[in-house]
Amino acid sequence: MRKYVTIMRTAAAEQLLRMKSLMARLVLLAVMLAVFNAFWNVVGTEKTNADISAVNFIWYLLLGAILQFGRPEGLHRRIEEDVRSGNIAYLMMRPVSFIGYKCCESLGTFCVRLPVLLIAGAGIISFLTNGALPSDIKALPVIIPLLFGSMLLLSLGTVFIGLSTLYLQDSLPLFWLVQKGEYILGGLFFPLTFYPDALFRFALATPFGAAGYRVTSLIYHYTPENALTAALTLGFWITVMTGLNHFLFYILKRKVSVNGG
Amino acid sequence: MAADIKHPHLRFLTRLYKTAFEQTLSLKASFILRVLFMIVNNLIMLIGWFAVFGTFKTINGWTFSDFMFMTGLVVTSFSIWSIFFRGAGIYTARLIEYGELDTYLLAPKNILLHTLCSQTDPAGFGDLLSGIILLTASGLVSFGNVGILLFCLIVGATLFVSLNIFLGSLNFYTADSTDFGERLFYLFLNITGYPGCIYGGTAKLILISLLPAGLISILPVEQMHHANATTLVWMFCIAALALIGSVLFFYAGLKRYASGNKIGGKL
Repeated sequence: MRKYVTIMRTAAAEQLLRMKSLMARLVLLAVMLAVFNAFWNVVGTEKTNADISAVNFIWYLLLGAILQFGRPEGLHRRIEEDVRSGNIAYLMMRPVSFIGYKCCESLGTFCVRLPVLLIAGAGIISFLTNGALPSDIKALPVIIPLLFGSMLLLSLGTVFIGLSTLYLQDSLPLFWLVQKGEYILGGLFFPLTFYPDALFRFALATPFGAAGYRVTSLIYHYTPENALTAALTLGFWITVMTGLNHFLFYILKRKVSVNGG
Repeated sequence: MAADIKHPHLRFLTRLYKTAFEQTLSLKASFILRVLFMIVNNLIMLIGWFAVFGTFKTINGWTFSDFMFMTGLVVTSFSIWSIFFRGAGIYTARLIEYGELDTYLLAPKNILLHTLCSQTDPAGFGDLLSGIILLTASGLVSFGNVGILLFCLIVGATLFVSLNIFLGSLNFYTADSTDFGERLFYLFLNITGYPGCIYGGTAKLILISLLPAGLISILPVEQMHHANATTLVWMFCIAALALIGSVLFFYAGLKRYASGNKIGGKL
């Protein structure tokens, strides 16, 4: 376990050195929140079944934006390069799980980005909404650990995309699809309640809904039952994705040994 | 065919594109996969917005048709950059970062043109196809306004190219700006991903001047409904200024370029 903590700590330290990149994310976050606010100023006046107030809406999207900007970029691309170049054969020999290594890297990065993005985002929203707070701000101590669960699930998905290079040769197209799945079905673009009922239910049943909406909507829809459901659903999908990744990695290992690395 | 072209720049460009396209098409499976997935990718995003428009019917006077037109225009303009000028942006930034611009500097050709046109992205063809589909399906294009559409496409593509020349050149001035530039490009893309009608007042003013994403996402839809010569001239001026500014920025930065010590060759 200690070696995985060390991997996380190294990834976090690397993030602290790349402040320019983090600043760019903050600029992007500020503009995105202004866009969300402008969007709500237009659509929020119309009566819908979306059941969400302006401040809840922006806070909800802030948590979604943190999941987007908090992850390390190009993880699938780096795995793809490792698979293509055969470098993965050398990585396999390390005394750590390859999948665990990549996920810990993501979580380490998230450890640094989450507090920065959350504090900056809260400040920007406070400026945009005259200091109004979301309905269930008290749920934040519950939401933050769940966001780490979401990041783990998203990272497992990205590792899966990277490993799929074995069959697809090019992982980028699959990455686009999954990214759009996160936006649309995960509710990172809009709360899922904006959708018709059938699409809403379908989205909730996907891993995207588990990583996104179920966790981020707790900021305005918190009940202990909702939080428990979010945690259990996350746990379920993390288990499924871990299993799938290990299965794919097992096939990859056999292929690598057959081809000689 | 390229040998018949008299103008040296055009002959050079024709050969450059021929090489770039042959390189792209050499991996047929990957090419087809990227084109198809890009079309699906664009359509998935549209499904999400279709659901939102289903809930709200209109957003500040915009219908789903208007949004389809806007998305079609953004995607098609993006594809022109992606297919013909992909060298601008991250590619140039990396060349500068790793000191690999030397091989371009040594070639007896215009360096900016050479770097801009030396790359192409297969996914751009998927964008182009889906863009044309969206523009056609929007129902806003007719024989009467097809000229305005073409004008808006040129303005949009010019903005994408200018922005990428600018962001790619940042590495001349401050090291390790590749990721920073990439994030700013996504910022521009994100703004153009929302219906232009949500921006009003100061935000709209900024978006049609200082950060001209509105020239792709706000003004074209308005022009397709009610064309206005003054607005079209304004769009032309801003796009021209952006292009001239970015080219000057590139050449000013080039003077600061420190050569790398990596040995390499470039066709």
